[in-house]
Amino acid sequence: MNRKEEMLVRKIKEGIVIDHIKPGKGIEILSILRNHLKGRAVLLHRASSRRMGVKDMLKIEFGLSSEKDLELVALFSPNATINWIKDWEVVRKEEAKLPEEVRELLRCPNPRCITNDEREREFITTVFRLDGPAYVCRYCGARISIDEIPDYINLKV
Amino acid sequence: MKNKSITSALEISKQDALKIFQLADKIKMGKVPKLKGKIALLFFEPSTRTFFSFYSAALLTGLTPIGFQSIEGTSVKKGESLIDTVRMFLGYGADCIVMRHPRAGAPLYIAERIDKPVINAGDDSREHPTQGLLDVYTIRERFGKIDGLRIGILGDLRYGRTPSSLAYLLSHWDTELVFIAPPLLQIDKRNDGMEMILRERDVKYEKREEVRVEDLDVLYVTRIQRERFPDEREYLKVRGAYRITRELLNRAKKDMIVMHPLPRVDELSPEVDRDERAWYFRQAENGLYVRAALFSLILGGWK
Repeated sequence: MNRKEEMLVRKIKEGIVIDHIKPGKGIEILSILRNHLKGRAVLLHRASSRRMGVKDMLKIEFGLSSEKDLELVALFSPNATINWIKDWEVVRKEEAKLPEEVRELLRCPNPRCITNDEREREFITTVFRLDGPAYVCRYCGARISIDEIPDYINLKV
Repeated sequence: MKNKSITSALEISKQDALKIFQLADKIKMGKVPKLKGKIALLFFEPSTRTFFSFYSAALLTGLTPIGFQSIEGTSVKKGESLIDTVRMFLGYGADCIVMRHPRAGAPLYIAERIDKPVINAGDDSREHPTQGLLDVYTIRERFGKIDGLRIGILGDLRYGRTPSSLAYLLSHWDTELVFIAPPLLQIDKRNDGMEMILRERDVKYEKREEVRVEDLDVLYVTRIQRERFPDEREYLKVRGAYRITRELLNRAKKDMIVMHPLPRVDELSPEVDRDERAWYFRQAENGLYVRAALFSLILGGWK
């Protein structure tokens, strides 16, 4: 981020900064985290980045009441980094990592899967397990390869 | 195996399969366990063989079968959910649910939600584990062993639910599998990761387009369905090429057997019935003993 953008969005004293988000994915990440925000959040869309050209960035003041959903960040943006801030300093930094199991967020690509049945859908939650380069549906075995993930994210923004 | 659900052949260990086979042998010789209880047969997709095989297995072991053979005339037509239908049958005292459903994973979904065992009698094109059990039982009956056999599975391997369950069970033994199908219907076209699972289990297999049978000990034939082909001419070509005739059997080993989960349409010529290598009617009959054995182990707590 250059100096002008820093003036647009100031640093936070305490909280979480999700950086290097694929442009356009910031709003989706914000939407999955919004129920756990402890303070204000600001989304910087299309910020300039030396590494990526442009990127999205999400600053969450005071962090999250539950960090469980942070593990979903990589599904939206595999190369994002997550920074924990205390007293203006980064105290911990992690690369977003694909979760071993994803519940509810992914939709099964198999139209004949029980989780896609119009009537049963409201009774059942999708469960996908990470197996090498793909997520596998618990119910029908259908696979979603890592690059196909955006096509199967079921998000009510 | 008491109270164990069978939703996939992947959940059946070698030890469990052998237990089922040994008990099925006894039942076939007339030593039938006497059980008490109710079995709910819930067939959301029409079936004759599988339905009546479970039905007869229930009667044979003294269980009372309740349920339906198709959804015609049931509240499912009114839009009742699957779980509600199942709960109703549990309310009537069902000790076990046997279900066939047009959606993949439906039996697993129900097994997760109720505390009675669920047996998958076919879920879409995914699996049919009890068919796989009776298939392996029949192979064992014929050869007295399973290790060392070369087993060809032919036909619609993409949408068929029997090839997957059969191959998963055979993965417990040292067999070589030959998947014979046109490329459009090969196992790599399936949407349930079957080929990945076979690789994880170190199964020896090859894929073959051409119908060659001379190297096989077992030829397992499945039906090729017209509606799977976008083009009628393409279908007719495949249908002709994958038809099993006496002429083809002339080139096969003398002690090979021909199997088929049935019903057949025209992939298996009736002239094959007269060949002593035709084992499909014996195979179908074995369904009764294997399913009776399964009920005994799951409901009776037989060891």
